[in-house]
Formats: sequence, structure tokens, C-alpha cells
Amino acid sequence: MIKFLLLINKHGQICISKHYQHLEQEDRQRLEKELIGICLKRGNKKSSFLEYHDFILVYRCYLDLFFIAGITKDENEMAIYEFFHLILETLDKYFPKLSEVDIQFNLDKVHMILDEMIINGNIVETSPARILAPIELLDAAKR
Amino acid sequence: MSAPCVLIASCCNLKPDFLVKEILKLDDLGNGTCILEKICAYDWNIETKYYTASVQLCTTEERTIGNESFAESVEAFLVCFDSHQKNSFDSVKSWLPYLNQLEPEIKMLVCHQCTENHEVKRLTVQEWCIDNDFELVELAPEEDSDENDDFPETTGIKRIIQALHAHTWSNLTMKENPSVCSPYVRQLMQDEFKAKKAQENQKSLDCAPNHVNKTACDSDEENQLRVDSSCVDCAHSSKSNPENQPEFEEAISLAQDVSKIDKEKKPKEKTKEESLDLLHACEDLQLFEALGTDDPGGESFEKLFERFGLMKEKAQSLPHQERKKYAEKVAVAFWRAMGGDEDEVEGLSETDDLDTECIPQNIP
Repeated sequence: MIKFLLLINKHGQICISKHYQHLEQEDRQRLEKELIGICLKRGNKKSSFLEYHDFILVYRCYLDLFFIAGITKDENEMAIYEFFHLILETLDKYFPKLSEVDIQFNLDKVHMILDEMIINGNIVETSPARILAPIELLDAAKR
Repeated sequence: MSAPCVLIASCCNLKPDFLVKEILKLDDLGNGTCILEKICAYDWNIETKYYTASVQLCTTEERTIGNESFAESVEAFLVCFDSHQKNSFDSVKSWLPYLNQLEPEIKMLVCHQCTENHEVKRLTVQEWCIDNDFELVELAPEEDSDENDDFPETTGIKRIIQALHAHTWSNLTMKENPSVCSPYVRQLMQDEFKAKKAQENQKSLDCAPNHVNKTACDSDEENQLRVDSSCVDCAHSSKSNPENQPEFEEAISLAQDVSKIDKEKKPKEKTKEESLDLLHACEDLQLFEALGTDDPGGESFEKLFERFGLMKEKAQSLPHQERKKYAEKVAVAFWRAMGGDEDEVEGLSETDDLDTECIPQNIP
């Protein structure tokens, strides 16, 4: 399963942080800081997978944003790696010409999209159309 | 409070003015306003999808924090250095105590290119950047053939602008209706617009027949209501007085009669609908005729052809006999539009015109 999912920019600032396993606030912050350092240092030219403490770290860099996930050892790394692409494609479908600003000003939407895709650390939906359906319904109702 | 500032400094021969020019996309900067000694400011209006903000790009030749109010207004810091010279990187490091005072949220280290072969190694620079919350931006990065072309990284001056856009400026004003909306919503709006238009057209066409239908329905409903209430009355009376049984039965049979009438009426309504469809069909036929008289083989054929799909659908909804006639009309119209010989179809269409119900309605 996915233990946590982070989205950070190149400044090392956290855009999105989702944890699917309980972690004390302090531990969480320490962990996040460490991981950000690791990923920024490695950049996107090194392997995107590495073992870290008791889990596997998977990350991918897109559009100057780092997608970082910590997964249990029984999870498929490649699947998560591709899942990042799906997240990005879904976001890009909703926000044409996606950039960091879109995420920054639509945190609620991004959280909703991720909540459609992951439940309790498990990937539950992979069809962009179905992921976006509830949000689009809300948008339609809001008008 | 004054506008938020981006402080731009340089620790190499790349002038801070150069970055300002690039950000503002100007060839000639002119003279900025000197807000403090050796600090020049240039206005920059930021416009993004979500907000607008006006900030000041400030250049400085030497390490300074200006004065207190200036230090407070600095929200971003850019510094250039040359990776070929170690002392250039050292002088960047000596900015750190000043930065502790300025506390900018965005810090970027700008260089032309930074590789492992340079005097200041890339890895060293990168580690320093991460430790000090800087972002390394190369103006002319090494070309790398990356496989994910769909979502490429932005580099150089574009990245600097992007990062500055992504900062939440203290004086930003949100746009009320962000122009971004998902493709789905856009589609929805278009559909709604179309539907509205179609509705308006429909209204003008259907006005009269709809009215007739409605009144018929209304009277039916009234009948139903009356019967219901009478039934209830009878039920009451039958409970209190068993001798009224025959009366009650009578009422029931009456109700059944009415419902029978209802059932008979429903098919009638259907035929009404059919005739409505026929009306539309007649409009098409009118079109055929109008087109048929046009110059043969010209635009009229194209117009007709465009509507062919629609005609087919319409024909399917018609009853068998009508469908045949309709098909014949279509064929004749096509024949005329194609510029076929009039003699071939003359007799056909005329006899049909007389047979078709709708023609008398069309002729006033």
C-alpha cells in the first residue's frame, strides 16, 4: 500500500501532503524534510526507486514538481511510478496547461482528485473520466 | 506598506539588470527609480490565471539589506554566480547572513550552466542549495534527451518567472472569475447554450399544437379528480349505510367508463403527436421543393445532403405508409437538386402531393 504521498516544488516547499498511515506530527515533519532533501539531491537522472528505512521511496519529477510516495515492500514500484503519470494526466485534463500555480490555488480540487484515486493507501480508480466525474458534477452545480 | 520586492544581486560579471530585462521582456530598461542608495527598482505587473500583483524588481550592486522597511518588503531573492570561479560562489555564500535578515521566501541561485567539470562542481552547488532552501536555475542547461516529453521541465528565465508566479505575493488580488474552467464545464456551457437556442426555436414552432394538447390533458385530469372524489364519497356512504351498495357499484362502473374513455383518448393523443411530426416533415418537404427549384447541381444539393441524416431519422419515426411517401419525396428532391430531368419525376411528385395530408396545411 501507499504510506504517504507528497507533492513538492523545486524550492522544497510542500504543495500536497497525504498520509495514509498514522505518524506523529513531529515524525511526519522530520520525515518530509529528509525526503525532500533526498529527492532534490538525486534529481531526475538517478533511479526513481530506493529503499528507505522500512519502506520503498518512489519519486518522479514533472513540470518542476516532485511526486514522492512511500510504499510498503509488497507494493509494485513500477505501478506507483506509472500512477504518478496518471495523477499528472488527470490533473492536466482538469486544469488545461497545468502548472504549479493551478495546484496552489486549487488545493481543494487536487485533494478531491487524489481522494478519488486513493483510499486508505490503495489505488481504487484509474479512469480519469470517472475520477473527475464527481468534481465536474460539483462544478456544474455551482454555476 | 510598499510593494513587495524581488531583490536581484550578482556575484559575477552577469549584471542584475540583465535578469530584470529578461523578466520584463524589455530590450531597454531605461532608468529605474532609485528607492535607496544603490538599489534600483523596476515595476513588474504580474498577471496569472488566478491573480494580479504588482511587485518591484530591485537590483543591487553590493550586499545590503537596505533599511528596515525595505528588508520587510523583500519576498524573493535572485543571485547570479559563475560556476567557473570559486570566489564567485564564495561571495554568494557571504550573502547568507544578510538573507537571515531579509527572510525571502523564494531564493534562487542563477548561473549560466553548472556541470561536474566546472571549478565549482554541480553536486556541491546543488547540496548547498538544498541545505539553504535555494533553487538552482541554469540559464542554458545541458541538453538532456529526456523521455517524458509530455510534461517537460521548464528551465532558464522561464523557470524563474514561473517560480515567481507561484509565490503568494503579499499584495496579490485574486481574480473574481478565474478564466480557468475544466473542459467539461466549458462543454456543459456550450451544450446549455445550444439547448436554449433550440428551445426557443421549438417554442415558436410548437406554440399552437402544444396549447391544444394541454387543454385536452387538463380536462382529462379534471374528470379523473371528480370521479375520485365521488368514489370516496360513495365509500363513506356505503360504510355508514350498507343499503347504498348498488349506488356504490354504479359509481365504480362510472369510474371504469371514464378510465376507458381515458384509454381511448390516449391513442388519440399519440396521433396528435404523429401529426406534429408530420408537420415537421412537411417543413422539410417545403425545403426540398424550395431547393429543388434552385439551380440544379449547385449549392442546393450540398444543403440537402447535409440534412440527409436528419431526414433518415425523421423517416424512421413515421408510420409505415407515411415513411414510404417521405422517402419518395426525399428521392425526388435529390433528383431535382442533382439536376435530373424534370419529366422523370413530374407525375410522381404531383400525385403524391395530392395524397399527402400535410400539403393542404402548408398551402394557406
